[in-house]
Amino acid sequence: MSVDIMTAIKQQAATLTVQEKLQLANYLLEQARLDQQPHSNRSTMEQDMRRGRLEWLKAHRDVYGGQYVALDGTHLVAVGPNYRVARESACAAGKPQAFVTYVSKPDEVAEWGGWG
Amino acid sequence: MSYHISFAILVQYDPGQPSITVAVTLSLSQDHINCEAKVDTGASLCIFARDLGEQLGLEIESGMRQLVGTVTGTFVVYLHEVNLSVAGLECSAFVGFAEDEGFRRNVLGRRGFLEQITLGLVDYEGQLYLSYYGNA
Repeated sequence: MSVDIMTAIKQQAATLTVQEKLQLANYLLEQARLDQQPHSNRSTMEQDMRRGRLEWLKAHRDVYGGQYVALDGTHLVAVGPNYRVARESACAAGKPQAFVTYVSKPDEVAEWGGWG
Repeated sequence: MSYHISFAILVQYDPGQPSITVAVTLSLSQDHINCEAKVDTGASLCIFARDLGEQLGLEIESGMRQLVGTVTGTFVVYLHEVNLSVAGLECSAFVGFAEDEGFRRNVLGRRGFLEQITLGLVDYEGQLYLSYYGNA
């Protein structure tokens, strides 16, 4: 990256609020940690993360069914009645990269849409 | 009163076709698979054919079981986390892969896709406008 781009990023970051700076710092730290991993390790880590999240979602379906959850790895950081609330709560908690998803109730039937 | 929304991406589709179909890439780590999917605002979920998940290396039945209702009955999908890419928009999503091997349709529905983006549609001209939410 050129010095000009780095300077521009620093200047833009200076305009952020304290909360936004902390969010940005957390994000950059996570990215830097991932970038330091060899690619094969990174793939395995991602795979383990997805597997862990899937198991978490299955295990907590009874509790959070019908709501949205935001997960940082396998750690719950926010819950909400819709995507927006869960996403914004995760951002407010300093986890803008959290995985946000709807958790269906165990007996819920999803809709297939208009051309089934 | 008039309303204005701006978008970062314009996707042209064939308005003569019976559905709004776009190119999609599903990926997991280094594995990628390309397919076409129908944009469907009436669908709760994003659902894909079983073989697409298998080509990504997923054990389909290890996902979270989900029943999906149609006008004539129900079918089963298993939800897995994958990366979705549509016209350069990338997002992580919990999507369904059909249990039935004969299921051939792919759908981009609300949960996992539409809820993460801003979408505009001019079907008259076969134009689909897309952006990340808040990032037009």
